[in-house]
Amino acid sequence: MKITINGEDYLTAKENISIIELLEERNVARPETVSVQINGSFVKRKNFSTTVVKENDEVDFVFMMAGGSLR
Amino acid sequence: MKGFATKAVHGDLHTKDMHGALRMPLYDSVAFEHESAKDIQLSFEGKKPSHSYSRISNPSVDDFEQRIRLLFDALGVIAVSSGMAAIANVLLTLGQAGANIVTSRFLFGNTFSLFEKTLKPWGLEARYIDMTDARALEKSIDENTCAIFFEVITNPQLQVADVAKIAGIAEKYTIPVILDGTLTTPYIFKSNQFGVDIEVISSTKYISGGATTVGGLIIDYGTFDWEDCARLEEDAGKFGDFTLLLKLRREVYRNLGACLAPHNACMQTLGLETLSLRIDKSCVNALEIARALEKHPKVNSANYPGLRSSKYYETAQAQFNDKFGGILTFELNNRKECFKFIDSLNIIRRATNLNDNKTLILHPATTIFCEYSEAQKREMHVSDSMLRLSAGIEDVEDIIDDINQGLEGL
Repeated sequence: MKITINGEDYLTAKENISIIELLEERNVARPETVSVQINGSFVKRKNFSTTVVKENDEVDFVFMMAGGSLR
Repeated sequence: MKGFATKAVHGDLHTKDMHGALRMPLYDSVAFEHESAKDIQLSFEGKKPSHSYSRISNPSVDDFEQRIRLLFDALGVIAVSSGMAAIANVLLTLGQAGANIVTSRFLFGNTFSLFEKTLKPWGLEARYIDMTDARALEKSIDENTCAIFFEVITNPQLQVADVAKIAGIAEKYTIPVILDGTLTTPYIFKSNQFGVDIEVISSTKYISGGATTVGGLIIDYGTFDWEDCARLEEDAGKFGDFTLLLKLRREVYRNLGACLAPHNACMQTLGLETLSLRIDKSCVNALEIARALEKHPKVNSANYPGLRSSKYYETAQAQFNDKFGGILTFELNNRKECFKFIDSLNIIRRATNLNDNKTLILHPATTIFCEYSEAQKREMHVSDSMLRLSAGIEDVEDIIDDINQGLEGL
């Protein structure tokens, strides 16, 4: 399944992968501190294990260290 | 890991140093290099977990923040240059011209100055009430109230409010509760279990490990829905739980520049490891000193939340797990006696700080409240005959002996 993560194409072997599985697959450290958006919409942390990413979705992981603009 | 001390000593066991160092090295560097221009772009956009510039984030500071996050069971933490910077950063993020904060009439002198002299001219109003008066709190809230702010134990009045009651009222009106938890830290008081949304702390005090460095903390417990905050409503749709933290990191904290120095972060991380030991000792010492003062014929009154004579004893006991902090006050006859007593001390140090390893003494009316009128000081219950003592971790018999010889000379 092809999706986009932070603007880059990404292929995952799993169909309908959950956010928590995707964070694990990408070896994201401290996943509980990452803000996640799918197609521009914020996903609550409590929904990380139940929210599923679908083909062609645009996923953004936003980390707390950034100094750029909020926009 | 369940225990406070275990978590404080080990932090996140999964984060390893590349050389296996057991202590996080000091990253005393301003800038961090990236592999490509694209990497720098991603870093600035927050889409790559890397550091770019130490005013915004730094590995040593990040390690300290993550240890605090684990220890406080928080959503996220931002370490800043001082406790005052923590208060200023949060209020400049939540407030705006025309908004108001409801706060206690008992505040640390510099916090009161921040509200009245620094923020008021920009249009942020502070409304002062007695935080133990629930009716007064409700009456002060209106549609422009952006936060309720108070100190867990007021300095130097040592008033202890019922935090859960205040948080209940705040929840009714969907207003975030900001608590200055400097004098307790979560080792004494787990504020998130009492409904606090944001905690600010001067880590200069208990956490720094004996007044080693100045620092502050902003702790977001992830409990407030920022869509209910007028200033953050728009960003909340995009960043949800993380709205306040991102607004700080990528705007207010970044722009104000009150970052914690990496050296200070390393010192404070070391301090964190012994926090529970030092708090235990200072609380025991404070109680013994307060009991000795209460009985002394030359002392008019002693004030400490751990004394049964304190009107806040029961509230403090219910909230603080049988530890009442390291600060106490007592009254002599007048300023002249206070000064004579201070000058006669041999071990207790004449200095303005709290929760140092050393026992410290101060005359609040002529120091941290010196810029206020006599009428304002009366309103704040800061009298000319009051002395504030911060109990250290020495052998308490030596401290009591020093106090006794000072009182005998009056």
